[in-house]
Amino acid sequence: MSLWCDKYQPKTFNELDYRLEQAALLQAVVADGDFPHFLIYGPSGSGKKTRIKCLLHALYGDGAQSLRIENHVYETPSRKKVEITTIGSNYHVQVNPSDAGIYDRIVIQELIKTIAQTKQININEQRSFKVIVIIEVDKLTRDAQHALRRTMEKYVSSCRIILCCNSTSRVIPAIRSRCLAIRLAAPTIDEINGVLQKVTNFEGIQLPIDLANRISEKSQRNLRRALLMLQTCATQKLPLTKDQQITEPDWEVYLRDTARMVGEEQTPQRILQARERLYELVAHCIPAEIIFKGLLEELLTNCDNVLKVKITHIAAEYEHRLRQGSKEVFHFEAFIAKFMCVYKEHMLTETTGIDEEFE
Amino acid sequence: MTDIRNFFKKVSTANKKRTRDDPVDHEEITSTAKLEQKLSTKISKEKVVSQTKTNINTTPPKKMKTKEIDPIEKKKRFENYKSFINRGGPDAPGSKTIPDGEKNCLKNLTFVISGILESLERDECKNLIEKYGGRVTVALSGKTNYLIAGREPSEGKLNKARATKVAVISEDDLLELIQTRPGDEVTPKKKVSTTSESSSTQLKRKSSSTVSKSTDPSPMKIQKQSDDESNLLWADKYKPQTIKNLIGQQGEKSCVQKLIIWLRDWYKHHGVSDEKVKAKSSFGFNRNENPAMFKAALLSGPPGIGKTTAAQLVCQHLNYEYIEKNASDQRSKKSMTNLSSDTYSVVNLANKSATISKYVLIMDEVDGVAGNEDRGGVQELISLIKRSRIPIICICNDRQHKKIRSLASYCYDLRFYRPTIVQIRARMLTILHRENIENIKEDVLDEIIQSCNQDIRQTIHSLNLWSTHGTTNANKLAAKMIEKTTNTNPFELCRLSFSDELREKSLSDKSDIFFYDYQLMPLLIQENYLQCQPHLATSNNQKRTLTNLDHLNLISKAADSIALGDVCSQMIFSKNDSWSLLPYQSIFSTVAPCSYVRGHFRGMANFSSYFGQRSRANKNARVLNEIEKHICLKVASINKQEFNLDYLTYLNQALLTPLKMASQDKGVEQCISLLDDYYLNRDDFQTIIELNTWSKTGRNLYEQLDTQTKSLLTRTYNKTNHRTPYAIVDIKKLKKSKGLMGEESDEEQGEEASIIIDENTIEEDAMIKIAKNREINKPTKKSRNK
Repeated sequence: MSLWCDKYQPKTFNELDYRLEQAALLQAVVADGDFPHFLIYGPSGSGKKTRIKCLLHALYGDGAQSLRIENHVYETPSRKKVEITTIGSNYHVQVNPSDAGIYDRIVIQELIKTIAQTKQININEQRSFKVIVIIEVDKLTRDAQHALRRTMEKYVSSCRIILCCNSTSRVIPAIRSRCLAIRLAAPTIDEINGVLQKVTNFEGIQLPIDLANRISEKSQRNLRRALLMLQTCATQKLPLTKDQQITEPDWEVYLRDTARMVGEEQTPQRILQARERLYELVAHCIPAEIIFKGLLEELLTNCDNVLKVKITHIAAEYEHRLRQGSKEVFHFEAFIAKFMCVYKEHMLTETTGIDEEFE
Repeated sequence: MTDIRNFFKKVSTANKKRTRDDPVDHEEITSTAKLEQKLSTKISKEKVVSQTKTNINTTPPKKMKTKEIDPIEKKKRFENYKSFINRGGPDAPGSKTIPDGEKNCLKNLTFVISGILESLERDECKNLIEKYGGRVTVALSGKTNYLIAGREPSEGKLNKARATKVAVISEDDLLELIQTRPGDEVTPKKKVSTTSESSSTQLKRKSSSTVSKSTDPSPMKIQKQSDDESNLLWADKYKPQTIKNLIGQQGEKSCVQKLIIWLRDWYKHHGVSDEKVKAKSSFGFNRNENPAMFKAALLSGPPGIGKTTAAQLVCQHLNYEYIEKNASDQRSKKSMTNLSSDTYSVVNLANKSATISKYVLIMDEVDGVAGNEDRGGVQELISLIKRSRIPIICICNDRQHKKIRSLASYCYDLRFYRPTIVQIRARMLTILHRENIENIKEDVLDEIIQSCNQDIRQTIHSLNLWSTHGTTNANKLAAKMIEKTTNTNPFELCRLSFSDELREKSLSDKSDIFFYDYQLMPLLIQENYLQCQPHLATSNNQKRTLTNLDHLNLISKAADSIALGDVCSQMIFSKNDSWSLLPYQSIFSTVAPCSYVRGHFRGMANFSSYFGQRSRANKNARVLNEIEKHICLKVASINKQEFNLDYLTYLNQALLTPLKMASQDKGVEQCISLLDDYYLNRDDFQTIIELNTWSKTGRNLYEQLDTQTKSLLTRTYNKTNHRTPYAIVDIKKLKKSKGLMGEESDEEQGEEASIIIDENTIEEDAMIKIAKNREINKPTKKSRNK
């Protein structure tokens, strides 16, 4: 038994449910034989890695799906040992160099070079190149990206690289220009509905259309999450009803509650409470930008239009500063304090006269 | 700089030589007479100069006082004034060494200074004269003894000096006067013309010291010694001379007494003589009670409480000769071996000559035996102790140091502790009494001792410092010093930085708080700034109270500034060479936020929760990484972050809902099969549950399960074998095996790392399953065997 999102993951281009034109294009590229480097990007849950899987299958057949784990240990110039785990078949290797933190450059240099330098022996039966899948390219340090860019050119005859990331904004232009960039937009609500219906049909469950819609919306157009939500609903209560409760990720609920607290009351005590909760979120490894986004979205719900502009402007400024700094909570707190100020002031000017009672 | 200084010295000595070579100068003449001579020659010279000057001047100086001033004179005066304004400082400031004269040697003498002196500023010169009891006046009068004339002296003064017959001297003459004039018992005359006895003896001394230094024990030398005595730091001056003077070491069981007994009996037990008594060896915890078996002693304790002094005094007390080696000597293995051979040769000699009885080797500052130069020093010291035929006393500060610990097992362990305040105070009072400083209060003294952390040496140094500052305001200084030294608790500093006390302080004082610990203080400030209820500055309109919005505004500004401080620190730490930004960070993260919210601080200053939360985040990241590694074969299309954000909640639900809903057996079975499918083990299960626990929401499904189900789950899980594509590394076993076989285990890990699973075929093919199982079991069996 495995979760539905894994169980029903498409393995070939033919099984895909949406973005079929793009799939056809990819298939054509593979069939053509001349295979460029790829840069596949898009929001999470839109099917980037599914596409990669399909690509690999189209290139190498079933052989690409027998996977193994390999551990590699590299030594940095400062004598620190960096361990990195790769998943791969005989034909490809998938690696996440950002696991090595600031030493990702070593991984790029050592691992990718060694793979790229070994040529395939039996060219007639196989492709002349191996594929390296690098995930979370946007998390790579600048040094690592520069290390990668030369490698990509130098060993193009023996290996192709598929880069995978959420956003290209932090991929250096030199790399972007060397790849065929493919953007995967998040599936639309209807597309998600379609997938959900398909899966429930396979499982032999009736899915009310209203519930499917609600799940699709709650999932924020993240197909993986939609499938997980659906399955959780199914395990909780089995004939599915349309007004069934949908479980959201715990961190989202927690984050939303935090933002709500800030919106309710603007006092120093509230800032303290919010700080505690933000620390909790950070401790749960929720990325700072996602926390920031969640905070802002929830805070904006009780603002009028004038305030919305102001707050968003402030948020952008603080988010930028957050990226420059290192201690996320400091910046969240500064944002919350600023929000409280602006919000309170706005409220006071809106309702002049009765503000004395509030003090 | 030094070159220049040397140059000036040469110049000045050359000057002196010139005067000495004066034909008038004769050895027979007494020094004062010589001085007199010189003065007169000088005066005559000056006279000539001034006369020529007056000759050049068209108008006599007397005319200056007339009311009608002709335009030429006016112009002249104007130019004089102008040159007076523009004149520079001394030509060669600090070039001459100022002699130490006898006390009050210039008593009852009145000086007038005119013009620019060669090396002294006018104020300096004045201070110098006043130091030796002289008086400096502005105008010449009948009481004036000397006119000190430098470059461009005033005409009026020179003329008047001539009129009133006041001696005109130069700077050099003044210095010589200070050096040669006797102390205050001699009544000075208007002009130094007498040949007093003391000065004559002084000359004799001079001659004797130069000519027949070796023949008679010169009084000069004695004087010099006494000079040294007064120049000594108090810490050395009042160093204990006998064992009885040691502070806090008088008791029966004190370390010094133990050391004496040990050292006294040493040659009895370890010596080469016939009466050697074989010491009983004893082990265990009580081995320290039998000092006889040790060949060396280890004195340990904080600095400044007299360990070295104690060791030296004990040796003196027992009449042993000691050789001392401290951190200034190289103490590598090689030099240590040389040392031992040296000492042996000395011992051999000593045995032949009976006059000097016994030797002791004192190894001071053994914890300083470190680094490349002293490599192998401690090991060699240990072997030296084993071979030694003389007692060795080792001294160190840090008894718990890794290197010292190995040494300590060969040594008689004597731990020195800080004396109590009362003990130190008694001693300090005697010292102060001897130095004629009585006005320091006892409570102030106590505070000083405490602020020095009961370090005797430092206390004495502090007292010494205050005494040189001038004894009158010692108390004030003491209080100031204490203020500086005691406020070293970061929490106190944090409170202080928010308090009104700091409002009036300078910017650098405020940022000093940051520099107390530039990594900790910003965090403490950040943690606590919300607890502060800001006060309005009192200079503002007092009626206006702080509204809630104002408070929020201040907080927002403070938080902004703290965030900027964080950006700043990130810049400092990410780029190695931007430490110059540190002062800016101090402003951003400490000074500015504190000034915004300055006011009443409520409650305690808390420790920053950042550290705890960061380590939690790091741990969770590590755990997530581990889980991700485990499931990555099954869910290859996922990274750590996506797993955390999307999967975690639902996986938790999927694992726990069957346990809750279905009948026990079936639910447990379902749960375990899901775990197996994702290659998760029991530990991962636990961490998934932990990661899903949020504080203050209480949404923990696992807690809601009854204990029966939980125990059933554990039992069933442990009953069956679980295949995993990765090696389960038991940390305890790993540690053991690593300790036993070192390199071998590494090889094994390499083997384990490349275990291959074929996902597609494994379900059908039984052969592969067996093979794989064997492969996985192999390492665990191995480690069990070992």
